[in-house]
Formats: sequence, C-alpha cells, structure tokens
Amino acid sequence: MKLTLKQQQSLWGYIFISPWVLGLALLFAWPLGRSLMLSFQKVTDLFQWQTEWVGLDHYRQIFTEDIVFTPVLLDTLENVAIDVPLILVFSLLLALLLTGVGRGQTFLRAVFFLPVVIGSAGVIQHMLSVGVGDQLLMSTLEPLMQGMGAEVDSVVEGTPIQWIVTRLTAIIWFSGVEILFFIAGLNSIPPSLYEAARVDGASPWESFWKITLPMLSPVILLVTIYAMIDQLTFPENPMIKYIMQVGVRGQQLEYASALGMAYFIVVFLQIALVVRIMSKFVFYAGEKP
Amino acid sequence: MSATVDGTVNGTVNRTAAGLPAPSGAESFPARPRARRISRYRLRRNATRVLGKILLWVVLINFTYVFLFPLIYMMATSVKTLTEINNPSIVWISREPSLQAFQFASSIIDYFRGLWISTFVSAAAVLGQTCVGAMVGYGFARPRFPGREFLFWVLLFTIIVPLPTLAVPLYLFYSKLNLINTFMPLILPPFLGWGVRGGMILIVFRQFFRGLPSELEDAAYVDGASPFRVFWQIMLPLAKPAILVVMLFTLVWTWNDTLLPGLVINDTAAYTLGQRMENYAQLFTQARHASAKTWSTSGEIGENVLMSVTLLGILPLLIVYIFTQRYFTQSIDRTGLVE
Repeated sequence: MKLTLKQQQSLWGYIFISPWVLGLALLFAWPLGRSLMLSFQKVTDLFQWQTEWVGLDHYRQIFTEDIVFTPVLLDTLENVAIDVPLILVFSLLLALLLTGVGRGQTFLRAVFFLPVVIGSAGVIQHMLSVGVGDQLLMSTLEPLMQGMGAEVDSVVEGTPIQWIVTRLTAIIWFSGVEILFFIAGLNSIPPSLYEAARVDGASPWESFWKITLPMLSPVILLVTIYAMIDQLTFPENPMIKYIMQVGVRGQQLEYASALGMAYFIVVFLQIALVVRIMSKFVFYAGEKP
Repeated sequence: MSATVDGTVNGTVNRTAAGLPAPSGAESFPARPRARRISRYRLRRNATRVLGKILLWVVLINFTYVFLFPLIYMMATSVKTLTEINNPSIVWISREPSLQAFQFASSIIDYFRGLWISTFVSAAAVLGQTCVGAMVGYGFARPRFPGREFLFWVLLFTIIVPLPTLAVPLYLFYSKLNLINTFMPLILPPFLGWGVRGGMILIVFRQFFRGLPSELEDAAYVDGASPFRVFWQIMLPLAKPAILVVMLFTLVWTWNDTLLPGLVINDTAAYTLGQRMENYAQLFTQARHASAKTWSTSGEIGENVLMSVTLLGILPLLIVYIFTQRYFTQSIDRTGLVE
C-alpha cells in the first residue's frame, strides 16, 4: 500500500509522540480514571482487593467532617491569592531594574536564580519555619531608614508594610524563573516604540503604562500561570503534604484519592478562572491571534 | 541595547558616563576626549544619572544579599559548634570553626550512598527526558496529523494535575509490577517523556522547534530523507541550546524532587539524597519540639548538622550551577519561550 505524502507525515507524527502517548495512558489517564473511581469506593479487603460502592460519601466527609482539609484549602487559596500578585509585581520590578544594568547583569541574574536551583530541597522551608527569613528584609531596610533618622521597627511596626515585607522574604526566593521570563519579555519589546513615545513627549512613567505593560501582557499571563502551578503543586505545599500523608502513611487509599480529586478540581477551577479573566486584558501586538 | 522604561539607557552617553558600578561621584568622570568643556547643563544631567545608578546598585546589592542569604546562612551555620549556635553574640562568623558537623552529617545520612543513588537516578532521568522529550516535542511542533492540537491541549492539562491526585493508583500500579523500592519508577517515566515536570520540558522543545525555519527540512525532504533522519541529523544538532537547558532543568528538578521518591521508595537504605535530607530535617524538628531532656547532647542533632546535611545535599547542584549558570539564566531567551 502506498501512502500519500500527507498520510506519511501523519504517521511519522504519531511515531514521534508515541512514547508520550504510551506514558499518557499508563502514567496519567489510567491512574486518573482509577483515582476517580476509587474516590467513590471503599476498600473492604486490601489484600484480595475487594471494593464496594459508597457514592459521594468520601466527598461529603471531606467537606463536612475533615478538620484538616477545609482550613488547609482556604489557607492555600489565600496564599495563592496574595503571593502570586506579589510575585508578579516583585519580579517585574526586579526585571526592570536588571535591564537597567549594563555590566554586571550576568552576575546578578546568576545570583537571583540561585535559590531556584538549591531552594526547592526544603532548605528554604526550613529557614522560614525557624524564622530566620522574617527579619531578613527588615534588616536590609535598616541602614536606609537610619540614614533618614528613623528606626525601622517603630515606623513599620504593625503597618501593612511590615506584613508585606515579612511575606516577601518567602516569595523572593521563589521568583527566579519569573524574573527570567520578564527579562526575556522586556528585551523582546522593540526599542523603537520607546523612542517614538519619547519624541512625542511621553515621560518614562507614561511609556511604562502605555507601552511596557500592554506589550508585556502575554508574558504576564504566562508568568501568572507558572507561578500558580508552582505554588499549588510544590512538594512542601501543606495540602500536597496532607494528601501524601493520608495515602502513604495512613493507608487510607480511597480517602486519599478523593482528597486528591477534590484538590485537583479546586486547582483546575482556580487556574481556569484566572486565565479566563486575564486573557481579556492580554494584548497581542501584530498578527498573532 | 535593551530599552528601559526609565529611559536612562541611550547608547553611548550612558555607557561612558555611568557604565561602571557605582562611580564615587561627579568629579571622577573619565576624561572624555570629544567634549573637553563640559557644560553646566550636561554636568547636572550626568550627576543625576550617576546618582540614579548608585541608587540602583544600592537596591540591587541589597537584593543580592537577600538572594544569597540561604547559602551564606547554611555555610556559616554548618561550621559552627553546637554551643555557638545558641550563643546570640555570634551572628555569622564562627570563632572556632569545625568540620565536625559535616562528619556527623555524612555518617548519619550515609551521604555517599545517597549521592550515588541520586546521581544515578538523575543521570538516567536527564538522558531519557532529553532524548525522548526532543522527539516528542518535535512531533508536536512539525508533522501535521489529526488530533495534534487536541493532544497538545491534553498535554497542557496534565501539567496542572498534582501528583497526589494520581498517587494511590500509581502506587498500586508499581507494586503490582513489584517495582516498589526499585529505581525503575524514577527512571522509566522520563524515557516516556513523563519525568518530573515532563510536560514543561515538552513545551520547551515544541516552542523551540517551532521557532526554527522549515526550509532546511524541506530541502532534506526533497533529497529524499525520511522524517526521522531529518529530525535526527538536521533538527537535533540545531537544538543544542534547548537540549542543554532541558538537561540542566531536568537535573535540578529530579535531584530536588521528593514527592515521587517518597511514594515509591520506603526503604531507608534506598532513599535518594533528597529523601535523606528530608528525613533528617524531620528528625531535627521532632527533637526540637520534644523536651530539652531528649535533645541529643552528642551533637548529632543540631542546626549545624542540619545545615551541613543540606549543604552536602545540594553541593553537586551547586558545583554544576557555578559552571553552567549562564545556561540557566539565559534559558528563556535561548529557547524562544517568550517571543
């Protein structure tokens, strides 16, 4: 049988992605389906693998009886709602500062990315739990404030600034990838736009809001999604820890599955909602759809 | 020259006047042969510019400190003795630095065994994820076939599913195959493109291949090459930047991952380095929460040992990073992820 050129191309396409499709079936679709099924079941005999159908019992239990799930979930949602915007603003700010640096940028980039390489190993989590992180940003502000003749603690104490600064320490260490995304995005904006704006008398402030931000909006969307996924699925996330604990240590397999499904649905809805809202504000220059 | 919002960067003026990190003041301008007589206006403008630069560098150096803090803290604490840790007058530099904490650390977690395991697992994952990832990424980028767009949407979907959602069936799957406490569950998935954050790796490759011009391939097809040969001999050599980036990120992500190992390896002798670190951190936390009496006085449990453990655990990554930081920090520019 002779295949047309188009059919040949299709065939090769399938061959190229075949390993991934095999993985999709074995390591994703099947476990996901089974997890979903298990969440409606109760294991009556672990060794003979006997199960019985219990319907929505586990889900009812999760949302009404589980004393850990709801608080941790709300905590996670709150963290994402506060941290992700902070990460966005902060990493955009640092990216802007970095693009203003001529020599030395390579070194600074390397430093800013370091926590991403070494940090995911629970190191940073430990530091935060011991409390070394809390005072860190405050201490860097100190010389600046003393120069102005004020004590940091007395000025910032109890204000939103203190709250943000304390929170920022945790965030800063996780924003290496986001900074890189923004630098790449900033460098892709044609300089001619700024020149044209300056000739027309726009101040740097105006050209930031009228040029940089709209041109950067696709990157902002990308970074938001990345930051959200990062925040919602990193191993030290309390929710992830809780589910793994229930499943692996507690051996409550069906309940862990139900927890996993419930959490996944929340994650999915959250990301879908954010993407939907944000894509209204995304501006694509040129011919891109 | 990159454009900035504050408009300070405009070619030559900026570079000669303030390209150096934090010049000491307006007097120390390098002599500029073209304009001997500097007008007062220009002097003032340059002064503001220098001041701006100094301020920028002050802010950036402050942040440098914040970013380097975890590393500095680890190094400083790991050489302290147990009494020095509890002594508030010693903030950073130990008066009697010792490497004893490292000795304790490496014997408690059986460091070299963990190092070997992690190296082996990571190397295999890097190999598999890179080879198969490039192939699958190319498959998503170039050949047209029915269902390609749909499957790509599935790929995007898989990224947001957290591992715990799949954990129980995966565990049952591997235990049925008798693969629990072997390294197969860590090594095999990368060879299907399903390593740690495998979905992101595939997107990187896809974006990269889409950015390459298709004329080269067309020429090869005219000469009668098969698609696999085109991929292998023409596209893969062109993909070196993307390959390097993927290798490094896969290394870091696999090395630092504790979720999947925590699921499939429960024999402490077979723990990866990440698990060993986590294990010791737990031990430490428990001891800290327990009463002071049970606190080990032999010095095996203490913050200095904890920091030694973590430092030892990330040391290989740190060494790799020192030599390859350029590829990490230019990864996004190089792979064309942001266009």
